[in-house]
Amino acid sequence: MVQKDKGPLGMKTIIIGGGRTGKELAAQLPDSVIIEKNPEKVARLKALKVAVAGVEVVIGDGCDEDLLKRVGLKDATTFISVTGDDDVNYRAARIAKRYGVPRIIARVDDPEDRARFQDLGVDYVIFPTKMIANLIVDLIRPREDKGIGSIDVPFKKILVPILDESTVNRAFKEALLVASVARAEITVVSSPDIERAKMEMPAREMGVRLRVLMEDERLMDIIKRHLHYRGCIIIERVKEHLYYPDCIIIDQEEVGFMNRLLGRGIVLKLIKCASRPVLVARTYRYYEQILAILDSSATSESVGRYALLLAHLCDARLHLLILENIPELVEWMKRMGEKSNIRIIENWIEGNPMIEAVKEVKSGKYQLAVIPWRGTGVIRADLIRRIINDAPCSVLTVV
Amino acid sequence: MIISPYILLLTIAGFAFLIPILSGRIGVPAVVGEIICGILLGALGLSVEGEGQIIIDFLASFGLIFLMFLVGMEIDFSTIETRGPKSFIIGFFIFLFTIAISAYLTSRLGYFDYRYQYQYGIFSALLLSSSAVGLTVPTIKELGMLKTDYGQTILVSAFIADFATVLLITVYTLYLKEGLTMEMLMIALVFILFFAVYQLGKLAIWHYPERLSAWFKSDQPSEIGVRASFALLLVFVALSEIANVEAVLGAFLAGVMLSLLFRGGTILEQKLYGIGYGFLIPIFFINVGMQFDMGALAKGGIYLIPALIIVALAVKIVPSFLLIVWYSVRESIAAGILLSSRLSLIIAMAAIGLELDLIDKAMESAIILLALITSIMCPTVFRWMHRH
Repeated sequence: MVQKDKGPLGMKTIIIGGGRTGKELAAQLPDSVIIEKNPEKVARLKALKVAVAGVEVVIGDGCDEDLLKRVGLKDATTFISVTGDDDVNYRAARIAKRYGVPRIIARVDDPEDRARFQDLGVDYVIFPTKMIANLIVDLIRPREDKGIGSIDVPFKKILVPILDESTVNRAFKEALLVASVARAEITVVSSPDIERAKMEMPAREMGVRLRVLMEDERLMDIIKRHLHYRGCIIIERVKEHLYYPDCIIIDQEEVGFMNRLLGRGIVLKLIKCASRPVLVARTYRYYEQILAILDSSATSESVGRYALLLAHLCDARLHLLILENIPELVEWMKRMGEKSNIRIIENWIEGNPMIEAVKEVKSGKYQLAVIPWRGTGVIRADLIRRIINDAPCSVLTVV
Repeated sequence: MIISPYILLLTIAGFAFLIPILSGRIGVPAVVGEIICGILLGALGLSVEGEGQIIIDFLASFGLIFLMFLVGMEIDFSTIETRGPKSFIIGFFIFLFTIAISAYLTSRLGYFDYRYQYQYGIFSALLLSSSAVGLTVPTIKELGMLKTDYGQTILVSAFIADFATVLLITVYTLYLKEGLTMEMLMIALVFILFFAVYQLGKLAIWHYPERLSAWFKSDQPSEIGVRASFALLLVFVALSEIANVEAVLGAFLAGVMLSLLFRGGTILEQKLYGIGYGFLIPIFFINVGMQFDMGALAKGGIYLIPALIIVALAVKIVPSFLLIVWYSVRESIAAGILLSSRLSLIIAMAAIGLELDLIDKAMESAIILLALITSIMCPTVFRWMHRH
């Protein structure tokens, strides 16, 4: 077997599983290798002429390390395992991980298997069964009976300001995950020196529509220079491009001592000026456990909505940290959760709300914390800033 | 009649137990009942002598310190965070007008002219600029206005008035004691320490939430939260003593610190309120009542009352007309009336003024009576105006 060269995008993709998903992927990813063990499926793939697009179809076991090496595992930039067997996908992904493939995507059907895939360090874990089920239920339910899917607040347009190359691997990666489940489009504001293909390829793989505003050097210059002083300029400039994002996903920021003391920073400024949800990316993977911090402030309802929506889309467990006596809101969330098949765990706190909030956020149990964008009286602005700057998980601030 | 200090304490404790029950039925603040009881005890001629008096005096003065600590805890800076600076700016300007009108009216009463020392006038003007957060908060809460812009504006105005009064009186008394010297910088030192402790507190919350969490739980036999609060209070009180600043400022700042760092830790707050209002503070107020000088009031203080009431209302109602920009005339006047109520703070500050010889006994007695009258009258009028 001759190793295939990298394709025109400079990327080589190995796909395990030649079923319908594998076939669709191969059709959209020229110059990839698809490995399928079932000779009938291989014959069908060949008959469908996917190979015309430069796709090589190989018969064999996706967990066979020698075979994988022969098709060029060492040079692969992306490894996608989409068989209908979680064990096969796991073993194949483990080999790919051992060989240091930069991007590994795996399909998982059984929610019980999710943890071991994520522990393995698989970059993207896809749960088609659950996601499709949720989507279908949302479509067929009568309007008045719909769960959280009926709430018209998903992120349809996500803005990702990419200030340096590291953000491509971090904020953009998390934006892709959120966009893939929320069926949202992403607009990236980026400088021309960042390779466009690095964003386009994974976006295509995840089926996410991507717009890149990278020609405007002036725009990036303005963003970099002025964000410290006038975070809102980013929003204004993007509006000039007739783009109105409903969520901004930004990389976490290293905050210096003085900025920390004075409660300043690029991300904080952006949150203050954005008037829309801002997600500070830190997790870079699907959310399994989401924390929503709730009190009696008006923002709590929005916090609850967004938390429910994301928990629904990601099939995550939603933990409610309830700082005040708000039975109506909690009841509403539980009702919505029941309709939308979301597992909700209530935690009514005893003691000091701020300290309990810090304890939960820092517990390391959550991949995402949904919090109000500013102090609410019970949760101090100082604490909000601290969570935004230093939480071990991603933080979604809600207006 | 000379009695043992324990008998006096027993009498005070007995009254402290009965007063809230009775005052609740009559509809007046418990503090009013405590002062009236103190006046009655004083009229009966109950007193202790020697070391016993020292104990009672110490408990009463520690009651004052603790009262200021709890007043500080009432200050809620989160309203500024949540509502933006608007209500803070309004409150600040209302206070500026208050102090200007207060100075003008006290000078019209003749407190700045040759018959008195000008210090008398300045101190009285400062005293009359204060408010009563302790009365404003429950009144606003009771009328369901806590989360409205209007309610928050009144609250912030009361917070600013109380905070600024304590600060200005501290600066002023230090100035009188030491003159315009480097000693004045010691106040800055207290504030620097305040800022440093605040930053450390924030760090501690972030890095050791598990340990701090126990402070606010109900099942703590060692009451570590109460101990820490007392330690914080005494650090600031001791530092104020070292800096030659009024100890009440230190106590007030310690309360503000606790509010800034841990506001909402209801169980700890309840325990501290229990210690304060259940034991120490009634001793202070009953003692104030016992020291109440009927003779001085009869000799001249009684004539001050109508003038003081007019000034006390004018210095709050006139500046409240600033609120007309955002609220109706009726609402603005109502806000001014509620802000006119005085209680604990003005009595505490009057006690300091008397100790430093900045006001005389007649003025102190008149101020106590003013506090009693306005604390009953102003919230009642405010409620009536709100309901009609």
